[in-house]
Amino acid sequence: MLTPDQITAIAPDAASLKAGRDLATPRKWQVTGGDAEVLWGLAMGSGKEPYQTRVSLGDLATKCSCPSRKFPCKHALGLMFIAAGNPGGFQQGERPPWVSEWIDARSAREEKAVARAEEKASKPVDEKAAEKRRAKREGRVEEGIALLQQAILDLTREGLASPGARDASAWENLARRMIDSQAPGLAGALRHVADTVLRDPEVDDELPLELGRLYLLLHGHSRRDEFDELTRAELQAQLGGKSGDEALAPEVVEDDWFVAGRRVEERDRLITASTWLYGTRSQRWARLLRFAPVPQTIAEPWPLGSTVKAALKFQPGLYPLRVGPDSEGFPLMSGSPGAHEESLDALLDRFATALAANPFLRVLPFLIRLRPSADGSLLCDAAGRALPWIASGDLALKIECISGGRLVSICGEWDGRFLRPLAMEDSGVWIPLVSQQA
Amino acid sequence: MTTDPLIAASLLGTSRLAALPPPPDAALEASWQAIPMDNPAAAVLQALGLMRAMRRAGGRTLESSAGGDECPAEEQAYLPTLAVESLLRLLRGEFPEILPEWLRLASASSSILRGRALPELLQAATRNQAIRPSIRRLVGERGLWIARRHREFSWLLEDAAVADDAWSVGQPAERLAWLRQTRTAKPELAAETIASHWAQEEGGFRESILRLIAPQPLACDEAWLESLALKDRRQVVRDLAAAALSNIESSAFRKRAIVRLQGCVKLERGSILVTPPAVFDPTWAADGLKEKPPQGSGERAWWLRQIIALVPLDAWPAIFHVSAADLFASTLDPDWKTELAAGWIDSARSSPAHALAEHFVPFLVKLSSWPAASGISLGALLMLLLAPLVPAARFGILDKIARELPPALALDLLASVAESPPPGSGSAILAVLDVALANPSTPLVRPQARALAICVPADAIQQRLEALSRLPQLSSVAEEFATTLEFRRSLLSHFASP
Repeated sequence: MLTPDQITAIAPDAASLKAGRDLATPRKWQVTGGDAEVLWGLAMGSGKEPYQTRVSLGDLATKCSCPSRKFPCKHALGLMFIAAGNPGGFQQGERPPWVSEWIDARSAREEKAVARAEEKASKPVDEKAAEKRRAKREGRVEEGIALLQQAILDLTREGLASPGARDASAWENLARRMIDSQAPGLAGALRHVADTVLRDPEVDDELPLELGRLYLLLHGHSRRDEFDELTRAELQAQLGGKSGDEALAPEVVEDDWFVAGRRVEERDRLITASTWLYGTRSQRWARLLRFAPVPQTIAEPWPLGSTVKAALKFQPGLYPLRVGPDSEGFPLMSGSPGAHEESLDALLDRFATALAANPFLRVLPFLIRLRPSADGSLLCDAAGRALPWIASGDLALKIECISGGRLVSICGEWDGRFLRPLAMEDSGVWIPLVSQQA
Repeated sequence: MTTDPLIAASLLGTSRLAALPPPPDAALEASWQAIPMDNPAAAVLQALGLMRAMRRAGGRTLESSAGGDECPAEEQAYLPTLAVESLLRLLRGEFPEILPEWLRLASASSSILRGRALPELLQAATRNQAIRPSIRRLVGERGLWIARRHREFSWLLEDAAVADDAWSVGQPAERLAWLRQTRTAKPELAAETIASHWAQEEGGFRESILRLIAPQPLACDEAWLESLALKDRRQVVRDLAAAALSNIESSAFRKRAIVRLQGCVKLERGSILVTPPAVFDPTWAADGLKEKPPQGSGERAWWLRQIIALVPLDAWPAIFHVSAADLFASTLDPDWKTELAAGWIDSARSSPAHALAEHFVPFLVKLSSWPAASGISLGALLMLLLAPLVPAARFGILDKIARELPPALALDLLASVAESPPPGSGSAILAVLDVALANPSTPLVRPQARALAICVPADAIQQRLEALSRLPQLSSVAEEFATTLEFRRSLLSHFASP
């Protein structure tokens, strides 16, 4: 069920992608084979011996004996292209020894890793040493928070219209300080100020509001002992980084999850892929984040538009949305979700409820049948209500072409001001509307 | 500029702030009161945090503006997804030479494109006029609907059915569509309308009208062609009018042209004998002939050439009671061979569909010396003559001449035809290709190699690829050829799949 989009997203660069496509023909392979779990091939290279290439379909891991330093190499990409274009096109069905050895070695490694983790968890902890480490880490975090809190207070006293508050590089520096203080969530929030809030046409309103949100977070953290477990968990999650106590267990939800939308962005040499999943029975939304340091790319085994049978682990918080990347599952089928009856009014209700539970929330995803208004500035639902949206000229034209004035299923994010489309249905096929590679 | 007092306070600075401005809503009153004022900046920030939550949560939906019209439902099936993805790759720059083949396959399939590929295809066709005819049906109702809402795509409407008032109130593309429509149903009305509006139309539009009727001028067009278009200010309009008039069998223009020709040319016992005119008759100027010759040509030769040029080649068999084959096999008058050839070439250029290509092309290829003054190369003229033919005829001719052309010209011609021969034909073409590929010193560049890969008939692709895979090494040009063939093979399979 491999799609060309997945292969494009995982390719390390355009040259490898092209080389991969050039290798997507039986002419270049001595042997190719595949089954439900793994693909393999013997590629004719410039050396005497052909290269042994393997691709594991479950997590898109690859191994090839070619000397290339790029990852995945062009041979692996070639095998993937063959699979994507012509699933029945593999010559053999039985795994040669060099393939089964690799698969066995991988599962042995995974088992060992799980055993090690369990052992570590069950070992009697050296309480004093652990306490010392925790205190040291908390000390660093506290220092960072205090610094940021003071900075925001100073800027507000001075007035947020002043140049000091509008200097993007100053916010960047603060973000870097937060990384040093092991609070990556705060770093992300400060980068959001530098990248997005300062460039917003309504920055005079948005900057004070965003800083109000941040201050609430910092202030709340300093008084966290007064709050209940869930609030503390949420505050910790917003700060990012390791939490002190893992007392709260994640909520596990089993369902058939529709992979509704995905955004891939690069910032400061880190690629983040954020995927929204919609539970078709539970009607819950989940957000899955995956990261990779440049120049690596992110392997997404669950293609956009597929439905995945999975048990997702929701991280505890005031309005749980985020799920861990270690959630297991496998794709069932591809295609649009069934009829989804939500209206824009219902979306706003849901957003208000979510904000009431978690005032730090930024966006909520939606999956609604919509169409652009006649003048193009609004998206309208079946009930005749509308909300403003943001899309580049090209994207607006594409959506107009696909909808043809009719309602179509669109997945996107609502941030309290604008709808931002991420993916939509085009006559039975679910397609992305934003770039799926960094 | 913001009007909210709390936000204003945060923008201006809080050092002198004694108390918070009143809350934006009574619901926040209690929370507002609970905020301590010992640190004014902190108080403002906390209030802002509350305000943010309130604003974000308090959004309301708007009344949707009167919904625009819906696009009419599509009646035809959609092209397979893989075929659409290939198109997107072609439009984004991979194997651009294969785009015409994709369009042909798509047109033959009587399916239409899904919406998501429309923007890129419409934009490509806006830039490249040559592909417009093939995409008109492909874009379905959706494409027409989009074209009505976006000016840059209005050219798409030229073919669509338009309302009766399109001539009076429509955009230029719609007015041309009206003309096309009306000429089919009521040609006399179309001709009258053109005549009555001629003087007010812009030069560019007058040219468009001529290009519209040029492929099939009708008897009722003679009047305005002769009295208005032939006398137009623009040279190109006059030239197009002359060509159109010469292709109306009953026109006075054509009859005059034939009489002039018969005055200079005789065909007796397999020989063409030429007597160029001694003087320039002043009435000829009205038909577009020019008295003054260009540099390097004598007067009589120039007049002779123009006289020949105004008669379409397919009129010659009837005038001289000879078959087309015999015509071009005749011995040409040795004194006037060059002017005769040049005149025939001119005639072919202005009416390529009436140029007896099947016989004229082999004649051109066998010409011992190309008339320098003709103003067009052999290659360019061959492309012009082959273009209006149906593929079977086109490849019939190409097969005949492939071996007689210099290899470089043959390859150029094949690369520009950019179409594959119908299954079962094209053996001479393949022979030329094989020789070129086997010879590493053939001066081929990669885009040509890609274009030539298109000349392999669909049923011969597999065999060619197998032959290539048996070669130990491929030059980079041959590699490009092979990769393109592979892409074509996968393309053909996309269209074959359900």
